[in-house]
Amino acid sequence: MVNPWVAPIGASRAGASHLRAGRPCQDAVLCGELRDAAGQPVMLMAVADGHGGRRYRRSEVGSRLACETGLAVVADALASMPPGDGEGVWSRWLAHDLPEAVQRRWLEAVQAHWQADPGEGDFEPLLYGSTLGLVVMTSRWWGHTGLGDWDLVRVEADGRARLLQEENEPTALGEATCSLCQPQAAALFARRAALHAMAPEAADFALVLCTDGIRKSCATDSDFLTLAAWLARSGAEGAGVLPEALDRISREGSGDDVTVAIGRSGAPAEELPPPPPPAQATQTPPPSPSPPAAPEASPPRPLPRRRRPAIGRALAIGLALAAAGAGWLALVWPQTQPPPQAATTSPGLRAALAEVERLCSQPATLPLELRRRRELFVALRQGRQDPAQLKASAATDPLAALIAADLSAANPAEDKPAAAQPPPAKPRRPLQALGACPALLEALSRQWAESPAPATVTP
Amino acid sequence: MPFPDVKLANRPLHFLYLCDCSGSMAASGKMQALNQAIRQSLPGMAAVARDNPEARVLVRAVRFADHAAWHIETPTPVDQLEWRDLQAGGITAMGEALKLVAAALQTPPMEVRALPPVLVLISDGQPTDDFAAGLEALLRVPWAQKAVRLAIALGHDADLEVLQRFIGTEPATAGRSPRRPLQASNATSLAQYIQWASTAVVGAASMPASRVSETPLEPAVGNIPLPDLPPTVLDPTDDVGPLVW
Repeated sequence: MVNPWVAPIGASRAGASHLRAGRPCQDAVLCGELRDAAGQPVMLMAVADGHGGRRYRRSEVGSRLACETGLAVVADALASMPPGDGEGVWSRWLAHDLPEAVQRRWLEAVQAHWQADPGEGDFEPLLYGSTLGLVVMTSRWWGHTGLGDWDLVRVEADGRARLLQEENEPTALGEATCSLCQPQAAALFARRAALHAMAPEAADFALVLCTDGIRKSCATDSDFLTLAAWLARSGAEGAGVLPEALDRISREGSGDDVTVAIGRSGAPAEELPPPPPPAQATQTPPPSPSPPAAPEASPPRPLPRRRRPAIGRALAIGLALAAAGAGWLALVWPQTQPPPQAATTSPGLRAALAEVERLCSQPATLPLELRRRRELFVALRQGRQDPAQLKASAATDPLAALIAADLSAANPAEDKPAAAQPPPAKPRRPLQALGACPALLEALSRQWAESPAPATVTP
Repeated sequence: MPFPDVKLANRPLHFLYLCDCSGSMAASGKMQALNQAIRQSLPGMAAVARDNPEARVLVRAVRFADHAAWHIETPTPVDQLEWRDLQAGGITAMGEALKLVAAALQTPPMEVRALPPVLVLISDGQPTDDFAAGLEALLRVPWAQKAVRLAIALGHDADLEVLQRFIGTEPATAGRSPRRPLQASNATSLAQYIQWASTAVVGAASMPASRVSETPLEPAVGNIPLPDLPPTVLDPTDDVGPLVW
């Protein structure tokens, strides 16, 4: 089988604030070309972000050892596992076997480093704390795994970019992140692991793996995706262009250490067209992955935007509300509310409609926007947040109001038909009455699915 | 290949004062001392902001007496801030102040990529409204959970238990005591604490190192490791005087 991958490249630079404070770069990057048991080339990219701070004072060593350990574990597995094993075998390896080996060997490595160069106090893995992101690229599949606040972006041959992976742990608040030094580190990999088959005729694409310093330097996620697409294209000119770009990103952005690794399939990436401007990057839908992978943030292709006359649209809203039976507006405005035409003049409704339109015009960033409200999803689902209150505040926070209005979609089990009864028509969601596009509805459904329901007591 | 047309930006760091303006603050020059301490701290805070260009320090202030209200509502860059004197009078609607701040920390208007905010609560007495409801509303907001929360008690009548609940509990770690409200017994110590919060803490919050997420085996040790309280050199012309509260 022909190897579809070009050798990956990467670069890591000390952040502007680290340089000013005299601190070393605590990020690390490692790109390698390995061989599987059949002698076929396999590409690997690893990035790691040492935590910094007094408690993690050897994290620049920890991040380097994390990348080296990742490469060693992958190399050992490739040498011992039959390359023809099914994708299920490799999926389990990415999610379970590899993490356990990485954590065990990383702990051995940092302990050995401490013994060779002991510092003050006792050894503890915390001193070396680091994240780790890994991407493995074979001729039959590619996959990612790891833990911590790294991001992975897929850039299509036409320059469109979408975020495949980001940290989404509920405990990772503020600057907190998951780390190899945690006792349960191996178990945390599974949520970041996925395997994707390489379709024989698939279009070329690039993968951009980076530490959090790059995304935190961008004013918006749209800027981040555009920057990732540019990095993918610039990387085709060689790793030499990356340091200057990374220095600028840190200097004009977050000041944090910045690291990127870029892998590409197929044709040389200079054939890739330039990335679209930020607005287009968010409005253009990505093609369906092949095959589709559930954990990915892969917004579906949006439908053409419909433009209705204001009155006609308001009338449609009213009819849809009536059809839905319990539209969310009914909770906000009294039953004696004037007809929908008048209702559209309400600041809350206007804000909600505008928010639906805005969200549906940017399907690529929908999963990101909703994930950022994950605490709200959980609070609503667990009854800790009053949906009526949020809906009443639609004028000031229309997205929260829309999420509250969609709460009924959080409990699909309630929609199951009773036995021996014909399945009823799928209930219409209140947001459909506001013209929500399928991409928005699907993104909301995914976020509800990731939001834990309250624990139930079984007799 | 030219750099793309993307917007790179530093990260906003919101600094919020919550100031007790109840009638008791008029006694023994406490209100005057607070106004002077904040005003004196601004140049140092601006210098820290200049030294950390990756953070954009934005200041706001809430006053609370009979009711809570914004004293500085617009997040204001510290180098553009002119402190207007707070006036004392009324009771202590601290819970209402917490609710006001809770609303301001919602996303939006808070930026997703902001740095953890710094909240400084200064009080000389006990809340006269529903403090628990206010605190609950505040701590429901993720940005408040991520915030660095500090409290300064003025004098012996301040309710330390309430202030402790505001800053939360943090266990003692190696070489460090559990976090407690700072207790200012005169204008000098108040100025030191305000100076510390507006410089050392802002500096630490401007360059936060990532840290390990909380687990049952690895309890949280604060969102930002707080710097030690340093001795602060005050302006020798300071005329607040060493009043004892």
